[in-house]
Amino acid sequence: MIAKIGWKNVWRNKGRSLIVIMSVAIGMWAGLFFGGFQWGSFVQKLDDIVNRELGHAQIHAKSFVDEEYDYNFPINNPAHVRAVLDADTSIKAYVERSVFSGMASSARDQSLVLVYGIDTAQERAISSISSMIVEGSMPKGKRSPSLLVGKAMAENMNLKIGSKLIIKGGLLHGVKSFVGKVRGFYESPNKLKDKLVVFVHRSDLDKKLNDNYVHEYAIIFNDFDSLESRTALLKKQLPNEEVVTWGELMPEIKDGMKIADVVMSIVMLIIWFALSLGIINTMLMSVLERTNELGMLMAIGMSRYKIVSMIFFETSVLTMIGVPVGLLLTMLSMDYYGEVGIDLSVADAAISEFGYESIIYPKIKSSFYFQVIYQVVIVSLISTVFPAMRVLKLRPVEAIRKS
Amino acid sequence: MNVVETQNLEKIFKDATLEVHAVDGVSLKIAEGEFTAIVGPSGSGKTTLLNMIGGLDIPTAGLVQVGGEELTKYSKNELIDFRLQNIGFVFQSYNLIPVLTAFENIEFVMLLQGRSVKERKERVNELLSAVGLEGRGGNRPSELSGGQQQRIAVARALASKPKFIIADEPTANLDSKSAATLLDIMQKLNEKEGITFLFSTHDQRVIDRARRVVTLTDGVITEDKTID
Repeated sequence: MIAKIGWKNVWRNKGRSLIVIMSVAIGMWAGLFFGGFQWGSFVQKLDDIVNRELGHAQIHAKSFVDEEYDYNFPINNPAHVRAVLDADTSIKAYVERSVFSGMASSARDQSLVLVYGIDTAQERAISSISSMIVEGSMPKGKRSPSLLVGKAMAENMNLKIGSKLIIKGGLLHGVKSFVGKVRGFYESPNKLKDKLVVFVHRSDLDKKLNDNYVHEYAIIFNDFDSLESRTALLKKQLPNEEVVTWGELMPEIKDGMKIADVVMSIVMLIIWFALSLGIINTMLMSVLERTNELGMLMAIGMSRYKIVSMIFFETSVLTMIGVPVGLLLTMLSMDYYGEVGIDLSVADAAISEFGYESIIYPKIKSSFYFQVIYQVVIVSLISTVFPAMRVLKLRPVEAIRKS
Repeated sequence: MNVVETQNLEKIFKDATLEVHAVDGVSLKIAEGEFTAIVGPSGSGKTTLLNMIGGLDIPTAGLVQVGGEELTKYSKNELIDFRLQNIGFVFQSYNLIPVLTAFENIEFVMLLQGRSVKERKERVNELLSAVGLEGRGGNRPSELSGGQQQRIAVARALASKPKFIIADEPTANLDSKSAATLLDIMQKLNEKEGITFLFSTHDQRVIDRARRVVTLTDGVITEDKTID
């Protein structure tokens, strides 16, 4: 009976009902789309920084990171580390890198550099340096090491393909230096990295520095979600080395993501608040317009509980129609923007400084759909409490008089 | 047997500066099967008295008994259920549920009472016939004339088989022909089925049909006349 009257009441004022349905749908779409944007940028960031660069976890000699990537702190026993990593089936891939920090000098300028000695064949499993090359290439050096330089550094130092760079560093045990030739430029989403990092073949670096050092292992696990537990196990197996997760290595990124989560929560609260006001306003109008009728219902014997249930039923119907409409809107827009991306190139400079891509491809976790549906339903029901309270306060004798 | 009995019933409305005795010490007995009109000018307290007898309003002082039950002992929620089981209401402006058909409007109170589908259907058809609106059960209120809506309202008031029916100015919004038809129906129901009616009115057409006329002036009964 409540359902029957409630259903008919919903369609009594179609325009108003459509407003509530669209409020729910748009609120839901806004929540999901913003969440998708946030999650998409998180996944991209993770992909750029973690999957393409840091790996899920890294192993260094103790003090290497604290000493700001000092060349003089290599891993003591790389063979043992390799053996442990090879035996661990949870590891999908790993690479060995050597790192040489120092000063790069061209004919005209000088700049701080962090030279990464990498094995390009190994790196393909972890990073995508080759995909970031915008000019030239990184062939293996013949006489002098080939350098892959960030475009930002190249612009700062006015470097061209073929330019020579003298790189000096390793001051603890006497200065080491080598001369490399620029063979290519890369451009990553992270401008800070582009100004600092230079890539060179590890074999070339070993040849020049004659140390055969390994400073860094970058690891990718089969399952990203098991990262913490697998890293903890590696820490136990390699007590003499420093095993760190990407989050420990770059806490500013992890913190940034936490801040983004807080921003996301605030935005969601604003969306739900706006939705709530829309529902309260519309349902209150609906209740006030029917004051006389609701008074009559009480007079002839309909309990307050049943009348309030009817009001809640009406909101539930509107919400249940609004939710699939919102889902449809979200799916359509996610299909489109998930494919073409959201172009933020207007703010490219600012975004790149923080290491973000200027095109964001929104993505939504399936659990987020359920979370938002749940939130919309809760917000709708809570928003009905105020109009329902007005009903509870009605006195039939006064309500009937308002005809 | 008395269906309604009031003793020294009072209702005082107060605001910051004014105190109005809308009903001032009314003692009244309505016996089963009566067809009684409460008359008086506007503001004389007719509607207030009926509201208290119908359990819609709480007296400031005095007692109201319906079927021997003292209404002031009930809470607001208990009163709603009491009204459902014992009192039928006919309002001046019909007050039908606009989204329901005439059939559903009559059926509504029986749904609230939890009656079976079969019982509801039989009773609604019987009442539609009693108010002369067979075949109009599928119409919504907006598709019926004022007189027809008020007849549906009477049928709805009867649907719960109440102890008596309160009708507040039932003909006030009706033309002469519709008013006469409605009064014919109510009179017939009263005479043939012994249903007790209590009206508030200042419509002479209703007063002429009443078998008892109680005159209220400034909240006080000034005349109580039984017409043979």
